[in-house]
Amino acid sequence: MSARRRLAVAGLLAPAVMLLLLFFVVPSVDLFRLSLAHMDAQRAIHHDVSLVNYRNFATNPYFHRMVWGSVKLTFVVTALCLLLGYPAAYFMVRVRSTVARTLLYAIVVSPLLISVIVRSYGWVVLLANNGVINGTLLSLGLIERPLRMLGTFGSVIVATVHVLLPFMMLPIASALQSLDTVLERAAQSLGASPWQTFWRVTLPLTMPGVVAGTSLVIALTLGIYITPLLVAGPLQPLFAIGIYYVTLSQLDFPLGAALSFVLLAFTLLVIALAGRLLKTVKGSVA
Amino acid sequence: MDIDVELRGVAMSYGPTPVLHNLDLEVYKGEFLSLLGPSGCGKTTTLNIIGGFLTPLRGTVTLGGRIVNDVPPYRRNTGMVFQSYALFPHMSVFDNVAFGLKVRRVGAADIARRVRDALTLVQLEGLDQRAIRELSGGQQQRVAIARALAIDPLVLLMDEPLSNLDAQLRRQMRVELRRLQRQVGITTIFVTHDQEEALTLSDRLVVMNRGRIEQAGTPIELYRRPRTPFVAQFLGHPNFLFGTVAERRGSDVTVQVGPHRVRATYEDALESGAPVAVVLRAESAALHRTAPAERANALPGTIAYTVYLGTSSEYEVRLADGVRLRVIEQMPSGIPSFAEGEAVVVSWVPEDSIVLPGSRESMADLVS
Amino acid sequence: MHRRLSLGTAANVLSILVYVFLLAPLVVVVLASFNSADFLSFPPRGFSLRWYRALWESEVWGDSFRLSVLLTAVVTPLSLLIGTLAAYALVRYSFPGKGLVATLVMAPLVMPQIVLGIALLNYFSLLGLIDSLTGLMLGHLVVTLPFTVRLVSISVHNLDPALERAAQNLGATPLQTFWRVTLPNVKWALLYGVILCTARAMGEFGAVSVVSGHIRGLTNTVPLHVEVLYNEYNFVAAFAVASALAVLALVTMAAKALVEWRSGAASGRPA
Repeated sequence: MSARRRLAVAGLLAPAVMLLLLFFVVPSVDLFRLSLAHMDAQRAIHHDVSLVNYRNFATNPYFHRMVWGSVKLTFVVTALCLLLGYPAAYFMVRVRSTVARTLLYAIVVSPLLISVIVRSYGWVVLLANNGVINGTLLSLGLIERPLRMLGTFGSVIVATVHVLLPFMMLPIASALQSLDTVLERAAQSLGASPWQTFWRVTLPLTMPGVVAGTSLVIALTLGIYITPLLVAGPLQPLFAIGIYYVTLSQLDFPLGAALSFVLLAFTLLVIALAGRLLKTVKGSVA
Repeated sequence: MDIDVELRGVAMSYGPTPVLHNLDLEVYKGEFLSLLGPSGCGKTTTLNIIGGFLTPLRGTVTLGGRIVNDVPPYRRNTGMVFQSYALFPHMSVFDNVAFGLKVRRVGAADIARRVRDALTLVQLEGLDQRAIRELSGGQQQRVAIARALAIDPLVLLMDEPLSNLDAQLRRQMRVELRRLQRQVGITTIFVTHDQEEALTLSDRLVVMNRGRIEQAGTPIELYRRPRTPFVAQFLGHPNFLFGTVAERRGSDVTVQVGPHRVRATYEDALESGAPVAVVLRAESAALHRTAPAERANALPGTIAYTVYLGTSSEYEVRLADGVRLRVIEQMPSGIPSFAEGEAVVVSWVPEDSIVLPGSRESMADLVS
Repeated sequence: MHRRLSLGTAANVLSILVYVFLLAPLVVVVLASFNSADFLSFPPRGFSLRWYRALWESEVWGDSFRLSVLLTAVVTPLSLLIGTLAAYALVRYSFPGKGLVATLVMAPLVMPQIVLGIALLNYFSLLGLIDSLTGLMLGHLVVTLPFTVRLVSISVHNLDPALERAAQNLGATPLQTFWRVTLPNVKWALLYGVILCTARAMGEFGAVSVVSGHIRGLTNTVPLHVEVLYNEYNFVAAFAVASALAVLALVTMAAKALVEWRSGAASGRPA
């Protein structure tokens, strides 16, 4: 490649690379360095290299509860997103009017574009003791006393599913869109009922989308904290909330840094595994 | 003869646009029937209605004696071969062919046997474990056929299955397909826009145009006795000579075409002076240096230009009054007999003339 | 009538419920903000704009709003500019280390919000950038860059390189080619990017909240302010503000849907 070209490429990439190196890579590296420091009882930070924070994580039952809570949430949220998201994505892709499809698409994307505050407050209004749902149920005589929904793990699940559903639906919708419908017709011409067609043809061929969506939802659920914080308060057993609490309430930055890296490691692991799985799934679908 | 497929009064529209008008069709057991026509004529729509993927606006669809209007495609027991083959990319050849059997919950041993038989039929033994993407176009096509046959359907529906193959392969597959159909004896409905294909393969041929059936019959019937101008111009390379009826004696007709008197045969009634078109197929005419036998039609002219096609040559002959005729000469030697500028006589026997009542204006859109 | 593969009415009903679910919080918040009474009364007791008036009259909130707008106005064009340059280089050229650069550019997406937030908080405190507008902007830039790069990349990738080659063959310099041929053809992606960046900057919370240190008036963007109020239990005004943001996002969303529809097939989607 000529020198002029090399210069051009360097020039085009320089701003982005500089920005990311200075304000992403370096802070991350420094965070790691911080995670190896430790804070003593007087809130003074000692920068000697030690694994005390990581050991703390490994042995402290408080953090184990946090991890377990996040794992539970991840399972439930992912399952719900899959069971609700696939049919909804299918519906959107196969609806006949383009106007309707655009509208549905806008609805799917809306949680992403709306501030997390608005989303969370919406759930507060809906789920509060004197909120919409309780109000409706009470006036219909279906319950006698308001159901406690806000502040429970259940409300965290609901609010999390709401914000992560688009991440499951969009890759699946994309996979469905690139599926040639003639294959479904072929299956039917050979005698497969609509359900058989779905299980044997549609689902296997949209697997890459399902894997992509699932891994995205898992990775995002592991690190979620604002939505649960606003909807259920800081006492929920979630890993990211634990990090938030440790860092900004207790001001133990070294510990917070270490926990952050544990979370990062988990997230990267999920993404790497998903990437591997995606390759094999894509291969079998040709 | 048994009728396997019957359409009565079938009409179909896409939104406000009508695509099929009052179609009546019978397909006999064991026959190879082609639906032939230009794109947009409704042939694929008809096939999809038979297969159950489209519900007609009106009319009945009968398969094997029972009305299937309300029967979904997966219960009609028709085997469809799609233009793009529609092979399942995530399954091997074996699993593709076995698909119809698996969803019918046929036992594993039976599946294995029937798949093997189907693959042997299309001459693809031993390829059952291959992935679809490893196969050539011709092989994929055969798998598609095997897959449709494996379920032992009532009727085989083929939607332009050969159009994605290159010319040579296409010709080979035509022969293959005919042999296969004869061997299995399955009723087959074949959709194509290629008249050569339709003429070669079919027991019977249905020419469609703009949602209507123009004519149905054997290839020879349609070729030699087209009943409408559309059918006449769709098959072969026709020349249209417009004129009026001059004389009528029994089945002999003499037509005045400009300054020429052209002889033809025609069975039905014709009034003297009525406007007719005499259709002369380019393949039916021959070129001579002098006028040949007396009974034949003979029109003198000059060769305007020639097109060399290897096995044949195409000539355009300009007659005295400016009328141009296309003549195709078969050349076993590969050497054309005439060159541009030569004076020739175009001749043909009256029996080869096709008479179609109607004026030039009424056929204007068909004759360029 | 074309028979299509339908998995039954149950699946369709479920799907519709999902869409209702997705819209529910938004609808509720907007309705509540027009409520003449306390937010927690539902259905709304009367129509009133008093919360919006209070919002309009509040100086503190005005500052926050202005800050949000300023942030958006600076970050969006910057992010698009940097992102477009990088995207072009990544799609059109091959060079050693390309994979590494591509990974680097997409990396902020992979990092959990809180981790990035804490990393920046620590880093900025070292640089003295806490509570500063610059710090806020840099944080937003890092977070939006992967989106703009990906959006523009897809567009450039779909653009036939033959067009650029034709331009150069006719005598255009690389710069002229970029300006006259490449850029006009990726304008939908850019528009998309503008809408996306604006929406995120106006509503961004994750990394930013950690960075800006919660000092009212100075560096609070609107979403942060709302969180502060939440902690002080002044729900109602917060709701009004929140729904003002919601309306903004709605407009953004509608514009995006319009852009999508007009450009035909989707040429790129967030995350």
